[in-house]
Amino acid sequence: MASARYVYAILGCETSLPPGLRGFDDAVVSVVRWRALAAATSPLERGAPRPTAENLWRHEAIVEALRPQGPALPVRFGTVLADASAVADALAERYDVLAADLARLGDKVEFGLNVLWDPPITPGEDLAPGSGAALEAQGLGARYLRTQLAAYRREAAMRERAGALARELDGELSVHALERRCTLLPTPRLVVRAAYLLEPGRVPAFQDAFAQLRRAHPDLRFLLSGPWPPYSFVTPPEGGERSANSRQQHEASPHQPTDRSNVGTSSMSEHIVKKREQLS
Amino acid sequence: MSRSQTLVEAREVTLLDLVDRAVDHGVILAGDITIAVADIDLIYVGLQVLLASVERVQELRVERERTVAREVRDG
Repeated sequence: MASARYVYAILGCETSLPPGLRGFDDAVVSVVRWRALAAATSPLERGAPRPTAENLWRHEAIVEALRPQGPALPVRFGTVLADASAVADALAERYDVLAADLARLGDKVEFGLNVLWDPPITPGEDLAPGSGAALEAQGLGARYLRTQLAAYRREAAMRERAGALARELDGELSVHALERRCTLLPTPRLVVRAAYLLEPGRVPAFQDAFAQLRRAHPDLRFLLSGPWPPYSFVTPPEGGERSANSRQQHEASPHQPTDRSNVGTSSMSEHIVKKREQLS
Repeated sequence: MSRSQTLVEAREVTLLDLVDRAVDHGVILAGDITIAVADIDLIYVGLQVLLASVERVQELRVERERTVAREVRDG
């Protein structure tokens, strides 16, 4: 009986696999080809892997082990197809998009940036018209509307400050990047979440730019991780199955990393990803 | 904060970035994702908790540094 196939990455059909590469269930990773593309897959004996930390790292480790072999696109974690024939069908179905993405992104890397701030506290009284006796004289409805207006203005002021900060950061970093995705204020504490797509050769300059930026903003906390496979930049399917992150553009760049840690999973030292995470 | 603490913290935060990429992004092949929405929600709940814990660690570090500075100053 044909086994279900877990798919790790999309490759060029000529790309060879590292010898002995094993995926989930300790199964050998092999390719399924369709025209100029190939999918790196392994048979699943025990059902789809659960989204645990260990399994996520294993997925990532396989993708990273494939990338030195040639251009590769990371497939979303949890991708399982019925059998090898279904994998070939899936390649055929999105062939043009996948081939274009492989050419555009296959040898690129991405970095993730999260910037935390202490949200500025904007006094409501300063933003809301009227105060003191005038406030007392107002009815309940008027006071409610005043409160709403003050909250709206506080929110608008915070977004404006966040936008200005994000533009400053992005202005320094994006000069080293091919593309970027930025989300402003995904949470009140997280002022910017961004992903930058880089040529591998630009990574040192990008990291230098980041370090300089961090030094210039001791009031912020920066979390930079990478290099990652370019997960965030692949073309979503038509009809959009991506998360609905609003994507706003800004730009930035700096220089010189300081407390950099190599990070990986101890149990998967061979292929395991070593991500640099800078905490300030 | 010791180096080992920093490494643990960095690895966990990096895991969050991995979740953000490998679960929420990456190539999608026709109708095949097997992770339930509830699984993803759980991952993101964990992410928020961890971010909060990272912030708390930072606050504790600042508090400790202040305490040490005060002790040094006061003899």
